[in-house]
Amino acid sequence: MSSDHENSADTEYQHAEDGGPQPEKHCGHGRGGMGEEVRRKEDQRFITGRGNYVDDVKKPGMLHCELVRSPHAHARIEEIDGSRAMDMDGVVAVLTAEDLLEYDLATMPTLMDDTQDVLVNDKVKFQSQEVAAVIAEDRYVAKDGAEKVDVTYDVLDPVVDADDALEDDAPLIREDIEDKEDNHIFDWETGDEEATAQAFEEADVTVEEEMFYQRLHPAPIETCGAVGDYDPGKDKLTVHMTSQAPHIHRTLFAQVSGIPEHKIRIVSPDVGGGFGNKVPIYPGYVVAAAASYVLEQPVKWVEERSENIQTTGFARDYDMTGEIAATEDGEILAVRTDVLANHGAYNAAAQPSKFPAGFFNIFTGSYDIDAAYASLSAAYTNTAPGGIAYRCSFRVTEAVYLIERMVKVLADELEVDPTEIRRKNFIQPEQFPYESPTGWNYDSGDYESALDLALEMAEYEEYREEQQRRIENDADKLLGIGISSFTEVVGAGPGKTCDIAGVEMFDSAEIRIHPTGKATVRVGVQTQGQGHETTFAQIVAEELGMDVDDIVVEHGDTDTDPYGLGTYGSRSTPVAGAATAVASRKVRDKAKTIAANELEADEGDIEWDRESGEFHVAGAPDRSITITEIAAGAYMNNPAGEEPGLEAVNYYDPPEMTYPFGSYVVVVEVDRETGEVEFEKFVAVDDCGNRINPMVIEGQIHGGLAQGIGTAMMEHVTYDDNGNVTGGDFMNYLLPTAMEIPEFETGHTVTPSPHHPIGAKGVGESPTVGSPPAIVNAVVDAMAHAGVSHVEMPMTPDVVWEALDEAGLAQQPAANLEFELESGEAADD
Amino acid sequence: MTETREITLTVNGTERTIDAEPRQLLVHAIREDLDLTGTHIGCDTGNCGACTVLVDGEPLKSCLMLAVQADGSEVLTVEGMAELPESAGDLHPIQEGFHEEHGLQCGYCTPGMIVAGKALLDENPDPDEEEIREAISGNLCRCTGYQNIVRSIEYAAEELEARAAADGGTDVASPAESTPDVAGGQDGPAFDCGVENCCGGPSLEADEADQPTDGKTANGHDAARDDGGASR
Amino acid sequence: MKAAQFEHHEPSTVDEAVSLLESLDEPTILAGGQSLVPMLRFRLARPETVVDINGIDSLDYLREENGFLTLGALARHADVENSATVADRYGSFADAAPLVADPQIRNRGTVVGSVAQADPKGDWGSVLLAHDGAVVAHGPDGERTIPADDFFLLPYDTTLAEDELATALRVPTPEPREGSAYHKLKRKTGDYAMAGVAARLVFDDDGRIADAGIGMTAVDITNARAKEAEAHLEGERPSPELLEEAGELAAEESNPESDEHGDASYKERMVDVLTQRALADAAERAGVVERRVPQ
Repeated sequence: MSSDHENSADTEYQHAEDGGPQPEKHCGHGRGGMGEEVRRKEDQRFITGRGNYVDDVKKPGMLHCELVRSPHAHARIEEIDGSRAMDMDGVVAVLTAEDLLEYDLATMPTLMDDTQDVLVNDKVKFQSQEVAAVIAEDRYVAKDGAEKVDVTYDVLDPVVDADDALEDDAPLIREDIEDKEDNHIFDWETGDEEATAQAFEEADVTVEEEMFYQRLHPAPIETCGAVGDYDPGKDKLTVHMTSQAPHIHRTLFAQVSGIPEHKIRIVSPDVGGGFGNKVPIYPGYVVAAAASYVLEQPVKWVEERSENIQTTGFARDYDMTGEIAATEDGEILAVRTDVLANHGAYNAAAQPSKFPAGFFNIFTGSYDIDAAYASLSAAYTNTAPGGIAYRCSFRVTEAVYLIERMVKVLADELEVDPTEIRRKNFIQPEQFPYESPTGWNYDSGDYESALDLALEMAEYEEYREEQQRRIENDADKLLGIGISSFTEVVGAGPGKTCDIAGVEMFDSAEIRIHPTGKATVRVGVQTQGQGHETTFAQIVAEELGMDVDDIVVEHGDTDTDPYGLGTYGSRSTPVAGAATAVASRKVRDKAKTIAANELEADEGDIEWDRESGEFHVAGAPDRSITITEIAAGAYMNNPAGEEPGLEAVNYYDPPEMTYPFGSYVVVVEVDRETGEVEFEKFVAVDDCGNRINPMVIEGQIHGGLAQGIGTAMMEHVTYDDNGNVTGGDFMNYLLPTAMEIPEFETGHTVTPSPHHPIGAKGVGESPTVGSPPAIVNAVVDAMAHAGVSHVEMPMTPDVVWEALDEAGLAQQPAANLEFELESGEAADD
Repeated sequence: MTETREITLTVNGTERTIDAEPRQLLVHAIREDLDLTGTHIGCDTGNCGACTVLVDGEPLKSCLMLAVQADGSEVLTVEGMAELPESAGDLHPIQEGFHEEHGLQCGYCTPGMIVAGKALLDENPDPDEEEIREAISGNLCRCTGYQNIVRSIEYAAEELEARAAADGGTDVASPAESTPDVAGGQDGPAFDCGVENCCGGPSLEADEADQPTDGKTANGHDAARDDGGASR
Repeated sequence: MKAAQFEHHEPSTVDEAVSLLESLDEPTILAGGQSLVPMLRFRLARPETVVDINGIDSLDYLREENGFLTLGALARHADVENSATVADRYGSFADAAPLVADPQIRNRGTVVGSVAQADPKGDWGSVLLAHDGAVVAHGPDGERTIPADDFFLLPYDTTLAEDELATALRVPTPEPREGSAYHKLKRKTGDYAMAGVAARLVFDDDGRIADAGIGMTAVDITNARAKEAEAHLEGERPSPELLEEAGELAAEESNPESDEHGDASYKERMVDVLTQRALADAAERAGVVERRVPQ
């Protein structure tokens, strides 16, 4: 366990003692430490085609699994007949729920303690649900076999919308839950209802807006997959799988299957993007593992894109009503929201178990608001299960969207600049640590500085003037400027409040310095592109004065890595990064003892010099020693009575979460003829505390902004009334291409976290969380002068044109055409 | 299993003969039969471009083509990039560009992007940003937001030009020297800690927020500023 | 996704292809395959036999001859995109080609295949209609020419016989004062059209419209002509008001359905907008009018 000392901020780092952002001290010593734009160590294998993703794993005798899926959204299974499939050459097995029941594997727990069928036992609850599995020698033959599995369905009425599902006469979806008589999952409330109601009664101004955060899918370019590989000789089950949380998955596999945990090895090799999609357990993983166990042969399952979007964890699907009460000069007195959440056929949200609505109650955002109240209900529907944290801390995206949209609604109601409302209500730097009305303890922030910088970079005033000019000239393209000043909450634990399936949310690092002074670092988190192999090495390089090239970071193998909770919720840097720093300092402490021995000095006189990366005797800088020399000493000249070796491990339980923040300014052009939206300018200022690798941070921000644009402009998993997925492949679940994504301008401020060992906060998810409201605010802003207060996402041209038309802003090309005949005559003679 | 047909492909310069069912996709032949797993599959509708390879010099989606249709063709996959003459036995400038400009994160779309980028530079050695974006518009990336992929291909264009200009490719310009976006005359703090890719050093991906406003906003030392965005 | 089994035939001549089409049981023709292969993968198409025409070298051409621009069945979208002839004289073709799908798909997909596929969301059918073009087909009885107006029946259904191969499409070479254009609205790059309009205008010496062609994409069960709009234009001089009236007529003639690409009412309005835009470009390209740059 970590001591308080280890958890406290290292005084060698700059911290925001006065609450304001301060310059980074570390700009690199040329060894690849903190703050340096070290090129990524992991790149080489990817740019040469030598990555090792799950579908690249090949084993001798490997079989292939294809899942038979239900064409119906709600149907009772009357019979499954696999005999025609079994008769085919190359088909090895057809598995149904009945087969899995024998091994007690017919169901699996979701991360919210619901129970999901691995293969449907009785009743299909969403379209494309897993009904049977065909195991064959070849993936084409497995597909041929799947077609020959005859399933007889008794088709039932489905219910797709959450509000319909809560009607009295709605079809009951979860008959498998004892005494369940409706489709209601839970009600949840937070804040002070009475105080909030009173504030609304007394307020000069109140505003209200309904907004739907549509169902999204993380859609990493690599889909989910697994290779189950049971070795009967060692009685050991290895599962190569696309996992963001391999250790938790091992524990869950052990709990579900009864196979002892030390007889299970989860390997998460290179993962082609996760974004929350690869946190839950899916039936395909279980089937591949179970089939391998039963058949004693390796079995590969890799899902198709349409299977990925139609069945694996979706995100959002929150129907929200927001309200703000304010004084006439824009001071926000209270915020209130009512939410209906669609969780699909199972409660399979992926979040800490004590938080049914995740961290949604951070919906007061960056503002110092006295009263707040939220009530939320969740419903089962005949749609795929989910509610996962797609590139955000659990439900923070929805919360930020709500408050940042509502601030814009209020500004428009009061006819003041939205920056003014924000400035008036920001939590001030001196208020940190700040306790929010719903109980969050914000660590540090300086919101106005970030906003100032973003406005300056965006040439805000000039664009405001241009916007006015266009309105006055009745221009065919309107200009809109949108702002979002968001606060994220990331880095879960602490373990006492946050857990996944009961396991407290800590994380870990283990550092071994070898005799020649090179290091192997193993971490409990798992990269899906975030660059851990580089950035974690940079932390060690910084803390031990090593060269980053002398450090290798390993992850994703439960046999060798220390236990960790995985990578999601921007928790890798806040938690495993902290563990890495603390473990490094443990090594450094031991190194001092060895240094004293080598330098023949008193241990108390040994000083660590961060700049030179060396240890030296106090007052005698020339009597110095490097970590390489110390490593040799540890193994070849170990001080008497000292334990040999030079290594350390740390399991870090964060004392608090971290609160990265930022301000985004988006300028759009809206075509009044077609409703098409073009990005004119896109500025993102982020503050993620101390920065490890600015290049990697910027890359994360670019990627998150692109996903925010996808969210705001085109992405939506749609269903028809019969529960058929109509937006379930890349033809209709639209991901933006390079043509839809503009050039981003990024900036940053630095407000270190006071409780994090290196003052870092985490950044990967801020842009996905922060950008959608900025984009919607911009599109609304273009039409606000005509009374438009909201446009729903995704803002495809038809949706925007609808708003233009209703506001009387839609225009015909003829209004803009002036012809001149070649002869010089007037055209319209 | 049905009848298979023997087909011969020249893959990355080497002639390979395999048996393929008519229904087998080219991408499966490449990944399964030829064991070249750098070419990826990301969708089932031909939208994502992770499977992009060059067939007789043209970028195609190998998931939208049958293996038997490639009989007699020359196929280039990411694994063949380092063998090309312009790679001079090491990484191809595009591969180098992706590394230098942080043009990849999870790496899954990267091989397809690299191949699409190569196809563009074969036809148009000096593309502008719009042309690059157009050329990779058949390839989806979920991680990078594309900006650094554009930079990576720009890097390669510059590097290839520098190599062509250098005598016989022996005196290759260093990446930093040949990159257009370095520090481009931007006003910024002149501080240089002397470390490459740090402070005032030749940082290729400097953050844009460099003006220390009222002495509080940090990081006055990212002097280099990428100005590529101004035009878009 | 993995396709079901099929036999693969590779004729090297048109005659060979036609005799295969005649002798095989319900064969499917494979040209560029950029729509067919996904359908095979999803097993939405399950042919017993596939006749792959990519080996018929005589079909790989794009040329102007005998008063027509003719595209052989193996002319790829990219061939149109890269053709200097097209760029110079066929505005609608030059507009449409780069709007089809994405670069890799344009390198492989064929224009004739796209027309023969008869997806109402396909772009080329509209261009063909606007140009009064035709599809050239080869069958057991030899060659016949099917005017574009008689070609499209239903979604994915044309007047081609089962044993006929569409070997080319052709449009008349432009008149001296002719211009054409194609405008398309889509949700993102690579997407099919929400709506699209091809327009072609021929002017007489007097600066009046002698002939007008308007083809519409994704707003009816097939690519469709806006005949009333065309008739309204003929005999008139171009003016913003005339274009606005034509746009309104075309919108009335369109018959879109609400789907994932947008509401019917929106698509109808966009037919109006895109028709005006395409007509304005066509008139300008004909050299008859100059458009003043809007303020």
